[in-house]
Amino acid sequence: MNLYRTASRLPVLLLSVAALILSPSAPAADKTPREMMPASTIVYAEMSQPQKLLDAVLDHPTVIELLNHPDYKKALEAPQFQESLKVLGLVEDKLGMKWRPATNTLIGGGIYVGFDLPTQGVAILTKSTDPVLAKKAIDAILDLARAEAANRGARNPVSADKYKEVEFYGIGPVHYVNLGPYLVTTNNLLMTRQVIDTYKGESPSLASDEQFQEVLKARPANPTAWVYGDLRTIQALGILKTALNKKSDNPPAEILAGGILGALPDAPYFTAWLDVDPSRIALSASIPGDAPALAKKREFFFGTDGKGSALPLLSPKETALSISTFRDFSSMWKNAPDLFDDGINAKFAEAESQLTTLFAGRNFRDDILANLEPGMQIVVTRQHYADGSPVPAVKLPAGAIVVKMKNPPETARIFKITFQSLVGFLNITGGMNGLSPLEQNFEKAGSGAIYSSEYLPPKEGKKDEAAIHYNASPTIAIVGDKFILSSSKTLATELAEIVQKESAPLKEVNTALKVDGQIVRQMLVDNRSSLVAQNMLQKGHGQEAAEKETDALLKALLGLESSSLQLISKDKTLQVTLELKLK
Amino acid sequence: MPLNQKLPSPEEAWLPFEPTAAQPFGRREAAHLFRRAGFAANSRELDEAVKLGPQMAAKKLVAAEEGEFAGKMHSFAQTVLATNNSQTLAAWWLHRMLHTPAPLLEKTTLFWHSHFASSSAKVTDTRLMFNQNELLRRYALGKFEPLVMGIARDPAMLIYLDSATNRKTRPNENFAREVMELFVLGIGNYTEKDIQELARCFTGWEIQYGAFKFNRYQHDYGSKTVLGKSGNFDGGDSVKVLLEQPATARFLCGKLARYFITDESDLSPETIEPLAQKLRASDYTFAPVLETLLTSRLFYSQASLGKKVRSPVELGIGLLRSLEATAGLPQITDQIRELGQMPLFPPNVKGWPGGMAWINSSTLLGRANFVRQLVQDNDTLFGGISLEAYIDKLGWKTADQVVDSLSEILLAVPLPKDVRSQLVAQIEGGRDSRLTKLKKTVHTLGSLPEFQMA
Repeated sequence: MNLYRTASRLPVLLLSVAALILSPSAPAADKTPREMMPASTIVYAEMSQPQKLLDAVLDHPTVIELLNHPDYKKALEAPQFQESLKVLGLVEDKLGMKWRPATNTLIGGGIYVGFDLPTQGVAILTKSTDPVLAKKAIDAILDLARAEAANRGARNPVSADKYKEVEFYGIGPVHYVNLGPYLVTTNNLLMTRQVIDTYKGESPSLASDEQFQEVLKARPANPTAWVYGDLRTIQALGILKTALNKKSDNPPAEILAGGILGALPDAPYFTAWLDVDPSRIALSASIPGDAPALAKKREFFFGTDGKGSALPLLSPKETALSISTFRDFSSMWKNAPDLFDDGINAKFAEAESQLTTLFAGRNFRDDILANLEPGMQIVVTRQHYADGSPVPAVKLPAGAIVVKMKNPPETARIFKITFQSLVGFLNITGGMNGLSPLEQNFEKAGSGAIYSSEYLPPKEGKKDEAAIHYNASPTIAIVGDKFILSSSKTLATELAEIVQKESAPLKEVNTALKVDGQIVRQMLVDNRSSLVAQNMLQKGHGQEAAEKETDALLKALLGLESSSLQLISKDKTLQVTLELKLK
Repeated sequence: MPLNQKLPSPEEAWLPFEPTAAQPFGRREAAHLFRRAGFAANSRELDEAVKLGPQMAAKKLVAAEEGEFAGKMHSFAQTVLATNNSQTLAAWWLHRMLHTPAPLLEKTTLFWHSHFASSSAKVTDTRLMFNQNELLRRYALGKFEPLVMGIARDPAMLIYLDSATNRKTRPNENFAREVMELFVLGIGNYTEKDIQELARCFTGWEIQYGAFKFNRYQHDYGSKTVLGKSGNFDGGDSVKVLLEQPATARFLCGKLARYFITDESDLSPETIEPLAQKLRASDYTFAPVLETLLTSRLFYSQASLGKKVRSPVELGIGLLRSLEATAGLPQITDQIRELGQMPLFPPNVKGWPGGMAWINSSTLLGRANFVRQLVQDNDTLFGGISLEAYIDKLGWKTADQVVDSLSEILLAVPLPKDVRSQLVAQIEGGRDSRLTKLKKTVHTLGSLPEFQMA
């Protein structure tokens, strides 16, 4: 984030924001904000309890830590920021209270925003819980605008006008009008008039739109914020179809989000909602999507009948990241000509040739991928080092992939041979570069087998400053129909035990991801000296200053418990939910 | 006004400089000392040096580096080495130069790096370059014999000179030639036969998997004659023979004088000889020689002041140290490389030629841009705060004070009067913020021809 750039715009922003959140006393009105937005509104957002979000964010220990971070304090020193703080101070003086309680009062009744396509207008409706304070605040804003103009020798920028007997004010292109208990702020005159027309019932409102009514009915109860987007106009113009129906040149994006992007051109709307409380922030977004229909083009993403589900997340000890997803890579590879452009298909062909060599002449697509069940579980864990073994100066996490084989006796043998060849190859190339060799070992794990390799310890040098490759002990494990490929023997051994227990796929969950904030933090703590070194290099700081900044960052992370992401594929809906748990 | 209008005679050149009312040891003189013996000094360091006087200030610079800093830098390096990236290691070295409490040690390490040049362009194992760097630092102010012996066994050096193997049937004359010509004696002080005989002394010295090994089966145990002395010499014996040559001390002191005193190689052999005698008398230990050099009348004379072109490292690190500034080192490393002096990447076995070779139309523009980038970058902090706050903290209130104090710290030669007036006017007038004006002032000063001289 460029704090300096943000800071430079702050005086203008502060005036506008302050004006937006004001709502003077007015007679009670029977219209809701959605009844005041024009029917041609294509994006509508509402936050009925904005102070809840403000409190949850600003009072959270992590945010408090970040506000105390030297980088933030440095940004505060910028002249533009100081200027903004002066403006804020003036507003506070006029209101007779600090900005935080003032804001909570002035927007206590909610904030509602709409974007209207024909007028290119944005309307923001705010409702105050204290009409006296609201009046005081709007006077303060208008006074400040007049005083600022006078200082520059400019004429009074505040204009007043009437439309259909409704009085409104303007500062430049921004207009303010009181309608019922709401202060309406718009970015242009046309939008101001449109809102007044709608308010007076002379023009249809968003609330009268059938699609909107349906979406509103289905929305979760009491979200902190809710957004609705009408995609019908964009759909009619075919913009999304043109943009998203092109063949992809980005396989990772296709694997991660191809299904959602495929559904978007036909979706008539999108909706998103935010739930916030002191211990949790959850953001969800959904679009209508017919998974079985979508599966015709993207079987690899949704499964044959659109019902492909991910297996449960794996959780070995100290898991930092766990991903489970339903993806049929064999199907994706076979359908590559329909999914990807020529450049990517050429790369697929090249990769297939090289991988066929690696897999001892077996065709990678037909003999390897086709012998794997759809789905993949990935885990990343904090790594520990056995007593007496080399400890790398930079400590990397361990990672593993678990897949299910269709024909274990045949496929497991190919994987075992390939692993042995690979270790031999690494030993030859490593030897040419002076690396220690990998020693291969085999051991039984219950009904499974573990084929591991470990670097021989270095002959010289401190064992706690070992080279980065000592993070790796490449290992494969074969347990029943499960194949595990791991960067570490310890992780592979643990997973070999976990995967012996059969688990059912997660219902309707296409992809699940979980990050444990505290384990990630602990991994950063393990690498504190590297982070300090990075700071010393990147910023040129001395050790003490670098340690201070690094520790401030690590302290800030104490407040993050975990985050998770789910892609849920129901019969008629695709939904993505991102949840952040806070301590 | 020049420090000492009169150039001292060879007899007087190395006598201690005694400040007088006419020729005091003030902040400008202290700044000269720090620019040469390190990478420039900040305002506080200048005040401290003035209080100490020229002799004690130099003694303090010659003193050994404190162990705590060395330990921290070693740990820092281990993290950097894990990436095996030589550019990152170069950035690490620049960080060391920027923060070291013993700048003379670092400056002299840089001298030996150019003297015993090896390049990461060829030596791809970064740890070997780091080990060589530590070796240079360990003996930078110490004895020459263990330094040469260390270099002769140094894996990075032997790999760089294609001397990883040296067999008795085919003695490697390349390494022996560099030892005589570039490392110890200088050209004209040996014969081709001496090179051939010296190469026999080093037979059996090998590098295997990044480590020095003595292969006794490949050593020539026969008698050799090097520079008139005969015996069953090995590599160590031969170095002793080289150090006994009168030319050795003259060669080394000549290079030191060019590095610390003047780029112009007009210091006569008669002027260098007393310093060479000092080196011989100290058993080839450099600390006392450098102390003599840095406290001498010659050092504070017209022959020295402003008679060196700042190298790119001195330019960048010097500007930062002068203003207690910190900035992103990867960017600084890139800029310094563009200007022709990437640490760990000397151009060839002769090291950097230095002097006027640093300056051409392209690098002159590049130098001004380098200063601008350093000063204008929002991430550059001065004493941990903004330039404006830093200058306020130093108590430089008026435009005159700011310009005079900055030029005193940054420039080796007086600021032309017309430029001074323009800079003062720049600070006093205009609609820019004070911070912007101060940044512009430092940028202008750092772009002047006067700033290119040290």
